[in-house]
Amino acid sequence: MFKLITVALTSLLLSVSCTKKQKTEYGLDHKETLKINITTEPPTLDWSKSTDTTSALIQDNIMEGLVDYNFDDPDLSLKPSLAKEWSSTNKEQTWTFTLRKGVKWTDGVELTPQHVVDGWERLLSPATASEYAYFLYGIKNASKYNKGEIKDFKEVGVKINDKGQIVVELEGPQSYFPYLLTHHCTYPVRKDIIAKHGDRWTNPANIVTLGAYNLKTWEHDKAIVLERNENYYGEKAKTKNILAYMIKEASTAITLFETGKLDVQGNLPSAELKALKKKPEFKQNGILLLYYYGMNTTKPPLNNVNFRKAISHAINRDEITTMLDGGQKPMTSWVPPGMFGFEPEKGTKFNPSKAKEFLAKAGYNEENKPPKIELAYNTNEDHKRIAENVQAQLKKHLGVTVEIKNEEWKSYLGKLKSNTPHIYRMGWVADFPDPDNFLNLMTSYSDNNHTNWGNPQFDTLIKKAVSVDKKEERRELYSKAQKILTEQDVPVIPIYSGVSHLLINKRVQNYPMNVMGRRKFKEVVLK
Amino acid sequence: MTTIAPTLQADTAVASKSLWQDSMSRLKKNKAAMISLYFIIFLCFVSLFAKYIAPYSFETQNMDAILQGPSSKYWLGTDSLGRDLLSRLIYGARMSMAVAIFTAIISLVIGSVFGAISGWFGGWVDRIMMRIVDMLFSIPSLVLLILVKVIFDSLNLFENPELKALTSTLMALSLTSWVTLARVVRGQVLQAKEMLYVEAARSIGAGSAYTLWKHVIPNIIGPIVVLLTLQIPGNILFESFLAFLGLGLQPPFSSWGVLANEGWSLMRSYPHLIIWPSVAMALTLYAFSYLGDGLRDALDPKMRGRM
Repeated sequence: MFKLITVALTSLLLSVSCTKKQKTEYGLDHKETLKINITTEPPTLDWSKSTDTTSALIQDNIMEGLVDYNFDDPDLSLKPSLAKEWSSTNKEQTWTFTLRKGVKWTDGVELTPQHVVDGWERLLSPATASEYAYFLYGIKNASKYNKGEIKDFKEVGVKINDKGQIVVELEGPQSYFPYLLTHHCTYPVRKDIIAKHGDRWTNPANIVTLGAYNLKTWEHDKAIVLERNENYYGEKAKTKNILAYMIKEASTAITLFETGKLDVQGNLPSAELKALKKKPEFKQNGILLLYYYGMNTTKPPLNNVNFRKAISHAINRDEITTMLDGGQKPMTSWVPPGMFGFEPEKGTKFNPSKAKEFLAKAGYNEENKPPKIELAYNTNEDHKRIAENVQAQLKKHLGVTVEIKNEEWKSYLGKLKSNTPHIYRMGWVADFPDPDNFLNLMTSYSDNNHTNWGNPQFDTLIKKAVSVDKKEERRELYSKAQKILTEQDVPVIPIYSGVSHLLINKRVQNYPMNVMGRRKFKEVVLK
Repeated sequence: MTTIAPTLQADTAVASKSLWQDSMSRLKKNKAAMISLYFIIFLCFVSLFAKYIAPYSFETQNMDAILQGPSSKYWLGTDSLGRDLLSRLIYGARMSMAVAIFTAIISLVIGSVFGAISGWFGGWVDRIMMRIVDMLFSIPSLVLLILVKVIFDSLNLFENPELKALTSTLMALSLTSWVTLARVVRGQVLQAKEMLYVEAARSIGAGSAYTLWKHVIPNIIGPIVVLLTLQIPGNILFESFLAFLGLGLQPPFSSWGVLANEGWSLMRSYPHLIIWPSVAMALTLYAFSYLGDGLRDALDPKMRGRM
């Protein structure tokens, strides 16, 4: 009997201690806080200017666009967000958007169509110097305005009609125009707030937003706290707080995950996947990402197209994906799977004897040995692993000596802009699910093309494809463009298309996982 | 009287033993030092003949055997690119041993010449030379190391990447380690030059260089050798440290610091990658320290336990 009483007492004590409210950092209730890791400090929360995925993650939760993706639909259709409805006339050359009524900013001001137009004006303004300005180049006169050739924004094809609808007139037909409006760079802005606070308008005390979450705290290089927006126009977020830590070291983050101090951890190092896969918390999903190597086509010996072909033929992508062992797909073509225009049969495939032939064509043989080339990547365990494998492959199949160099992300990007190394690593995640987003990247006028390569024929194909509305015809044009890019001129070496790996604590439900890598947390439920 | 003669003879026999013979016999009695000495000789042997001893090449990747634990095929397991850890460890020893031996030689030559000249001549020569030493001392050694290394790397003196990394590391380490030696040598020379045997040598007309070389140096060699052996572990550690920071050898080449860097990030799931390089480095550092201790006791029994 005494034993029974002690057991009852202990269990009572235990249950008491369990029900005691657990607090996490910043005084947040453990049960109502989703703890994630965004790995680095977001460079900026100014959604007209940011270009990286860390900033986008925060922006997507505190702000909204005119339309949003319906990720339940495998074809990625659109669903209304700030815009109630939209339609096109004139063969998809004119688009009309009707805004939802009663959407309020966090300072109580109601959203007006002018805020949306202000956002686009700010994005396109030369003074903003946004790297994403080209997103809206489809709009009539937008590129001229961005380049300063037109001073008056009134000449740009964006109007607000009598009914309070936003009417957009494009340069030509563009079937995917609404898709662009899911991106943070096209979100509405409050000019009055920006004018009042200047560069400090993104501080938690100054920022005015309208998304499902508010920016509550931003402790630089440590954490960001988001709190549920109680005045949100739609269904309110199910979890009250988001605590986003900035922990660079994956091993530290994984340890924190294991002790329950983090609910979700992405960016799992490939070498540890084998062990982590066994955990019940392990999840993975395909993502529209292309991992590739670019080549500086003006730097000898890579200015010789035969040498570039030799290199691309000498890399066995299967060996790399086998090594990574995370479900990645080897790629030789440019548009990733899951998107129309995906043509896996295209490209310079692994073929050591062909590689040697091209090397000979480039003028190198046993006596005249090819010179040493440089391969650069931004500091990261996985990039290093792949680079070392490619180094070994090129030596084995081609006898080319490769010197590996690495730099931190910021200085790496600077180097790509000023003095591109022979071969550089890069990745691209889709901003919108259309091949244009991938192929536009390699046009001669793209800021993200560091290969110094440009082909007018390629540029024309890409420009033309945008304005064609028949899908089959577009596929044809993209097919030709991919052939030029990956078989004829070869300024790039596609390596693999991506998969994202995550550890998610069992208490987290409905964690957003989608092919675009977008993370909106309003549906997340904590048990 | 006849009974005394053998004892006298025995005495002269003991006295005729040279400094080195005498020290060696004392060293041989020190077990820890002798084991350390054999271990270091073994390491030197392994480094010299790495190509023939290592079961695989340091750069051969095997995608079918990634991150394996120890097995009969791979004795110490494999790394994240399917390379044999034992082979990489053996090749990696080359860098550590080369650094150990060459920094010792370079700092011995520069340090003792500099210190001896400074101490022997004294006066303004001494003052200027010692201010130079002070200046080098006042710069934090890690900053100086990184700076010198980066400069030498950018000079591209050698095509061979291993040789390139070795020379720049050697330059950097020698530049920082001779300074301590120069100070000690100067102190010893200052002390020794007041000795009667120096005065005797001078009085029969021996020159400065001759006296220094023939009389002073042999008498102060003990502390120098001891300091040198004690500096070696520090230098090996510094080399690994630079490699760990990514300033050493570039892939695919291997040194213990490189291996530690690679193993460290996978410590959670694959501890063998960090354990073996650490064990190898720890054993080597212990060996040099014990040998240093042993040499100190052997060369100068009076100093036992003082340094």
